[in-house]
Amino acid sequence: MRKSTALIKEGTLVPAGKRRRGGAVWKNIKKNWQLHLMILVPVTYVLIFYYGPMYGIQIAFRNFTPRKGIWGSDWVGWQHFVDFFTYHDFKTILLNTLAISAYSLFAGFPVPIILALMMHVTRRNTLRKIVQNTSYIPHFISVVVMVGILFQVFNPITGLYGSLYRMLGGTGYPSDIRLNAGSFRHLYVWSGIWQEMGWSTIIYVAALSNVSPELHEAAMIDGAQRWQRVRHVDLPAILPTVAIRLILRCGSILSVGYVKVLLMQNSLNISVSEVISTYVYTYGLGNMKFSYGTAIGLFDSVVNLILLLSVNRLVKWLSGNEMNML
Amino acid sequence: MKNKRWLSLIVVAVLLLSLAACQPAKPPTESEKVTPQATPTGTDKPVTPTGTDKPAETPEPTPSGPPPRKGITLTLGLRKNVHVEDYDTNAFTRWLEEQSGLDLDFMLFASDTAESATQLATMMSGNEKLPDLLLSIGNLTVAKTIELGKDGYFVDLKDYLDKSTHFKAGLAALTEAQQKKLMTIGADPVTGAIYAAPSFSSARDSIDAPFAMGRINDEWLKKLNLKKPSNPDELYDVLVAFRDKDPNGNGKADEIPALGSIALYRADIVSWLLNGFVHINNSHGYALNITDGKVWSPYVTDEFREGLRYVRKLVANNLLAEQTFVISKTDEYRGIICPADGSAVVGLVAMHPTLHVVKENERLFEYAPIMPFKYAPFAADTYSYPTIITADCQHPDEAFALIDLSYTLGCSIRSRFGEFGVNWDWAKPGEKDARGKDAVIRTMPENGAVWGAQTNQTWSAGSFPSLPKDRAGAFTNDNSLTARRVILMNQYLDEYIAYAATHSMKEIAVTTELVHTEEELTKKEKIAPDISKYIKKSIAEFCTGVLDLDRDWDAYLATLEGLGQKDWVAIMQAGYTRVMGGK
Repeated sequence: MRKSTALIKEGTLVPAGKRRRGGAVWKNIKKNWQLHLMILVPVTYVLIFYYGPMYGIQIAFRNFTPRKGIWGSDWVGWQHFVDFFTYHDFKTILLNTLAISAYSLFAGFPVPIILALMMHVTRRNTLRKIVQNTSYIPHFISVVVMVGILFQVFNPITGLYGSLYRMLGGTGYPSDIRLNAGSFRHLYVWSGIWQEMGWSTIIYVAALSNVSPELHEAAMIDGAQRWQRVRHVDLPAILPTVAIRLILRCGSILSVGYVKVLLMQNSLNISVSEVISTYVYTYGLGNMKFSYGTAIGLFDSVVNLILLLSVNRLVKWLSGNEMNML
Repeated sequence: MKNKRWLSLIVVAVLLLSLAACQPAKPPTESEKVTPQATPTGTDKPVTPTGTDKPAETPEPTPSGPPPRKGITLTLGLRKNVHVEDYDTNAFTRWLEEQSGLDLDFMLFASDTAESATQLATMMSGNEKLPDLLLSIGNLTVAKTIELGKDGYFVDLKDYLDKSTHFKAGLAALTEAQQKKLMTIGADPVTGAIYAAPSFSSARDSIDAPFAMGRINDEWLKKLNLKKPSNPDELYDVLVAFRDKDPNGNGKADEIPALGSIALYRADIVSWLLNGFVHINNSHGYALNITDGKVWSPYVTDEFREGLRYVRKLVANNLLAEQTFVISKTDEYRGIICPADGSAVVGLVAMHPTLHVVKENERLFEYAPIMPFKYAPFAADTYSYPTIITADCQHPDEAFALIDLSYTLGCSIRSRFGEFGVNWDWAKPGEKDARGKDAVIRTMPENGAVWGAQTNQTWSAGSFPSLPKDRAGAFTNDNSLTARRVILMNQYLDEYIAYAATHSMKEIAVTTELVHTEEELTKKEKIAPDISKYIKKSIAEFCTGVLDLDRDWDAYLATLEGLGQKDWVAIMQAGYTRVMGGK
């Protein structure tokens, strides 16, 4: 708070609604023209690729045919939304999406934070570097290969799982855990955590490297042990980063990617593995039902936006206005 | 300050250039496109025109010779096949160019059917220029093709087909009923327009005709002194013996009495077993049956339930591997059928002999064919419409001439067997094909494989439409493993046909392509995929014990009703009656 006030006093940022606003803004642009020139590029990018295509949302309310184009297609009102909400499996699909997303969030979100803190406190630089590099590598494996590895490992006949079972004295073949609908979410979520935990630590490692050594020195003088320094110095320092990441993750809670789910889907787990994105892929794009797919996408986005704003408000309230994205 | 300004300007310039580089690539204009150089006849290989390189008795209209080059380039939209080295210099491309007088260019789509459909959809929604011809792109149903044709995307081929040379000759060779179906199914029921070139394949002519190919380990049967089972009860006893009596003799309890895959092509052992109780044909999704013109669903019958109970008994007693419901990758399946250590572990298996066995493995020859116990469904006759001329094509007459060329015997042989004089020659009198009929051609495997291997002789895919008349039986003196496997498949087909003839085969599968009204189509599109998905899921759940056949059967029936089972049957009945002309 103090910092922003100081900036305003210096005249770098001028509060809206003040006198001679236009003049001040122009003066500001002129003074920092390099910065404004640089920001122009991402702003243009966002306008062209994110805001520009938004006019296409209207096809969710039309019966879009490419030949007639967006503006020429017939209006159908809320028809596609009604179709989706009255689809016999709508509830299952929605709940599956929420379950996978929430599970991924709650199980996966703390892991990179813990890993980053562990790497930060370790005294051995070599060990830290080895852990960092090896934990980054799975991120670069494609989803297709990743699922292939997963299925090969858990194959009870030819895989590692089956071999271990027989090595430990089992006869025949163990039961196939890929058959169990209940195991789908665990396999999906924990393989994802394994693949992404290293890569996700990067932002926390960066935040931790910014913690002032003076704070640690002061804590040590006060007699703080290593765990206490993590708890009272490191953790509060990365809390804003954690909050922002959490808010962003909540803003994509209905956006479970379809590729991995489709690759892991079979007839026995489909009751828990059919999610919104796989439904859109199969029924929307596969059958060229663009309007229907767009309507579902719009529904996704609206729910995500509501969640993002809600979580942001919650975090703001919990932190006493200290943390706020918007 | 000056340095700072320069630095800022450089950074901005780099960012702008990066942004520009991220723009989607603009399709090349006509003048920018590279036209493949057609190799003149006779300069490299003796590519002889159709009229001169085949015996006079071959029943095909013979053009007087290759037409002169027309200076017209057609762009062909094809799904990329990884086995093809270079489409531009491919021998089949060169032959087509020579015969048609056209220059051919290619726009390659994803090899995966669904992905190519998405690519096509994206191009259409972005109003991008489509290639002149679309060859088997996407999984466009007839209804979708007609819808897009009516929207102005595709050219109506009706007049072209009526005035064609080779297509009409091929059509005339079909039965009257087949001709009628072929020309009715693909046509707009209101206007009669046909937006895609028809292709027909008789199910019983194809080695892939049996809906699932059962094989049983003959070595194990001999070792255990058992005879090949001929009904479900006998099979049960044989599988118990496979499980308990260590037929592979390695002292380990590693035998898998029965294995299949409900996801892999022609490997659905569950449907194979169910056909010991009720006629189930899922070669085109879970289809309905027809008896004496009446459409009915086998999935609600007591026989179906008894079949499921039998399969459940096999799974519960470790006689049918649970992996049958999970395996969806060919490599995984091959790895179980042909383990690395060489010992056989599978007793009864449903498999495709050229797809599901590890290369250079002789294991397949230890297995004997076994027929399903009551019904022997065939893959339905295929009435497909794979080739389309788009509205963006500037030369539709020439594009159709190319399509018409595809109905010739010469084109059909070259698309499948490669280059004349290099990969094949005309058969000598007395030479027989794999099914014992007089061969039309003889292959020359010593000059390399043209199918399923790296090649520059064919497109390694049946991209063009064809009619049965265009297909040739091939004599081969090839003794390779692949050739011997194909012979096995032919033997299986012959045995299957003979078996089917001795069994009650009144029921036939309803094909997926019938003639529907728009209202029926809308309804069918909504309910049929859900019902099919639900049946597939329920079969897996009943067989693995997730659902109980006593406790959950009524709920299963109720769900099917809720999904529109009765409507589905009624729609298919209406479509069938319409296509059969009220009969």
